[in-house]
Amino acid sequence: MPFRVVLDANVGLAACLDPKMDAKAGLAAEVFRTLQEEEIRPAITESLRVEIETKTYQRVGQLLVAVRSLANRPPTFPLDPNQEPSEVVEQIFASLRRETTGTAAALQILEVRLAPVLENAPIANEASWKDLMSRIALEVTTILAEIQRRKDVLGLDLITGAGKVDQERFRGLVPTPDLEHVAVLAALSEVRKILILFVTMDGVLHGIRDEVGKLAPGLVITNPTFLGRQIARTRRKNLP
Amino acid sequence: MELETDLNLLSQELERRTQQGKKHGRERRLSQIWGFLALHSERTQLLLDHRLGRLRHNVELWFRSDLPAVYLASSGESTHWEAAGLALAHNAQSQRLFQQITGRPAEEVSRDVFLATEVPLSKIDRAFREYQRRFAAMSDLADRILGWRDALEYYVDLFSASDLAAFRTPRQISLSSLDSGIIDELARGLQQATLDLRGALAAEYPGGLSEFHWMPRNDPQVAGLIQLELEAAEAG
Repeated sequence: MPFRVVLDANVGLAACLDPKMDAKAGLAAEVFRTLQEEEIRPAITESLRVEIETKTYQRVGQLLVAVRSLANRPPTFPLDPNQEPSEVVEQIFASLRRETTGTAAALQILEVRLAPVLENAPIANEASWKDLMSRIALEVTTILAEIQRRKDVLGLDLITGAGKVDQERFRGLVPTPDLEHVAVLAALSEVRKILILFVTMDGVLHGIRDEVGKLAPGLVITNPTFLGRQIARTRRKNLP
Repeated sequence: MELETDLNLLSQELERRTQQGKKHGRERRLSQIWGFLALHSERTQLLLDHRLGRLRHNVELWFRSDLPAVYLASSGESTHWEAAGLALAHNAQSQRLFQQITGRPAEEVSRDVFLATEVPLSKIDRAFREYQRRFAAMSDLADRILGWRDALEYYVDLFSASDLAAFRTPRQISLSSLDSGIIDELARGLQQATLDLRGALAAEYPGGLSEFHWMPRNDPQVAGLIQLELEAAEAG
């Protein structure tokens, strides 16, 4: 039976990281190395593509909202000579944390970005504060484009044509965020009469691989460590 | 405007010469093509600067508003991709053209080298038409992005203005004076146009897209954002 390798959103995202910086990125790089050696083009479904795009968009949106809050809340100038600029900024971040919800992670990223800038070039007035925030907002939009670019150059095929998707079959077994993906993959394997090797870094999803396999025999959930062996096993079965 | 006019005139002139055949001097024709390429390059650079200037304006506008994040995210994303599309297509097609005409990389080609080529004029014309055709294909996608972004920007700016004098001036903009459904719809159109251009770039210029980058591979902000996303997914 012909087969396709489909990557979970977490593998696609991790592959956008520098493998030297992150263990998951190292695993994702391993997946791509294996696929290259096996001369297999990885694929992604529309639902997984949308998940990556939407999540990145939302996170960047949170960052932008946090930058706007910062831009509109400059410190009082001239700064208190007894206070270090970083202390002033820390107070601003603390008050933002008190007043906003759901932006904790975005604020953390901005803090890391701003701290060294302020140490090297203290802000002297409101205009330079606004100018700095404008530059950071521009930079944040660049982060979005850069992540998209890294994803685009992975060379993922978009696999479509699932037809009617039945999520009910997997409800109660597959975690809700993955329900659509698993149902689409199962439908794809049935409609196209192919085996789908779905590579994920999600431990929960990998943990239910046998149960999913019983409901959808054409869908094999695997992880980066076992991908190479799965491909070899599938190829052996395909031998005449 | 002047540059655009010159470019159009030169383009028409080149088209006429193509129809009239070889009776005009080879050097004159090569000189015209060189002139066109120089103007075209200048125009592309101007477009890139202009787009970045508009994005800066949008940042200022957004700071003075309570508009949803999608306004600036889609405006910024589309600007960067539009600029990347034009730059990548321009560089790749220029390289291809100069290689075909002079056998050298674009960086090594001066006007004198270009005019001294011994490649047959028919082959030069073919290569030049190919340059124009392939750049135009990317330029059309970039124009679609521009169209959607214009619609989004003008909707927000114009429909929130108390009168025409306020249009395109820095001021506070409140979402309450606008319809957020329209903003979402225009932002979706802009995102789709950007996605189309991204797809074309990945298909047409995969090498250029791999080498091109807005931020270094080990940028801590990019890494921080992706890691955050991965952790959030793991936490369920």
